[in-house]
Amino acid sequence: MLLAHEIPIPTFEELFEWPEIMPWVSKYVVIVVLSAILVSAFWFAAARKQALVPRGVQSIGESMYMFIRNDIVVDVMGESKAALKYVPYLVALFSFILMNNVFEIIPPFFFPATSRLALPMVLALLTWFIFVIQGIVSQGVGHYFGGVLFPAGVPWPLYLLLTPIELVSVFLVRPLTLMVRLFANLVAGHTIVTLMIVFTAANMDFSDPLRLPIGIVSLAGGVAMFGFELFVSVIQAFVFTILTAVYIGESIHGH
Amino acid sequence: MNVLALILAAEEEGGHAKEGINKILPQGFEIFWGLVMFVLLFVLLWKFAIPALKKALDNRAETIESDLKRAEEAKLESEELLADYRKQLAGAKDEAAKIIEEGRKTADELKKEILAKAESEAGEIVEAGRRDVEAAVASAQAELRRQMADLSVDLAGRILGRELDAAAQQQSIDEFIAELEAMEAGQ
Repeated sequence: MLLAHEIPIPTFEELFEWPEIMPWVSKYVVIVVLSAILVSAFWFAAARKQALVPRGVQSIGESMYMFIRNDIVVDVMGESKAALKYVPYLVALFSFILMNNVFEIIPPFFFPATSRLALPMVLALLTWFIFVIQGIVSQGVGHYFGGVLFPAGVPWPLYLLLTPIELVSVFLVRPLTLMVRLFANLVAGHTIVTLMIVFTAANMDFSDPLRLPIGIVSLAGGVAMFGFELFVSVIQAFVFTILTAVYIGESIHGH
Repeated sequence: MNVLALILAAEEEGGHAKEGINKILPQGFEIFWGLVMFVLLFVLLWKFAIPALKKALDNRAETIESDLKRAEEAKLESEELLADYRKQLAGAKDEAAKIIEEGRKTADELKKEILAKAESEAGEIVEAGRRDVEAAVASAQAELRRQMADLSVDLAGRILGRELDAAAQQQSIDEFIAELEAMEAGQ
């Protein structure tokens, strides 16, 4: 086929697995470190001035903070002290995931660190760890696991069915879906964006009237995908954060 | 190997698929960097950035609250002041009206007094004039009487001293009347 031979479709390695620049440092590592630096720089810049009338970065930071505090923590977890304690964690989680996602469309990187399984896995495991610990701290070991595994108001024979389901869904499916949702969304987005760019590069041939339209269409599609992926980046960061809030909130209040 | 080929291979061959999955699985250093960077970021935000941001928000809330309170107080105060001024203004108006009223009353009284005084003075003046006139009339009458008495005596003497004839009598009477007339004209 014409396309398969002429278009330099990147290999899996090129898409997701950059060679280590040096031992323990790959493009993924550069982006993760850069994300941490940029996100903390953003929050420190937002918190530095403390102007009475916020402008610029302070205004953005405060809006983001108030959004996470009011629309995620207070709405989902309530306004208790135990819930508000998680605002910094959720702020860090949301902004860190968002930054790592957005690297998908930031030149010259064009690669979301969250499309490597390691990052979603680490964050999902942290969430899992925190909601289990918070459940034990808030309700006690027996009460917490009892409440999760043996939901109240159910006739006991149903526990034969319900307890395994709850065990799997709360302690296995939750972290797994949290991880896979973020990971898969960004893998897909990254692949599509890359393919659009590769198609554009391969077909933007002004001497070939057959391929030029393909090039133009894929260029338009690529631009559209950039916008869409920005949207996906925000949505996925939001979903991860709000689900974390839901899980921790359940642990604080019980079922 | 490209992505499409990889997917095809994964569908066909177990061995290749396994290789693909291995490539997806996280590597140790990736987990390490992800965890370290996130925890580092979280600690920085938790300990420094978020408290500072929160402080700014709290300060603003406090400032706005106290400003609103102060504005409310100032409003109340100004309302009180306005009410006071209104009261004072009303009092001043009343007082002014009272003063004008009093002034008018005083003026009226003064007018009446002056008129009464003027009337009584005029009366006195007229009275004094009348009395002067009466006195003048009385003195004139007295003078007239005295002169008439003198003239009568004189006339009687003349009549008695002369021979009485009609013509002489007539002459005497004419002279007497002429004297009287002259006297009257002379007065």
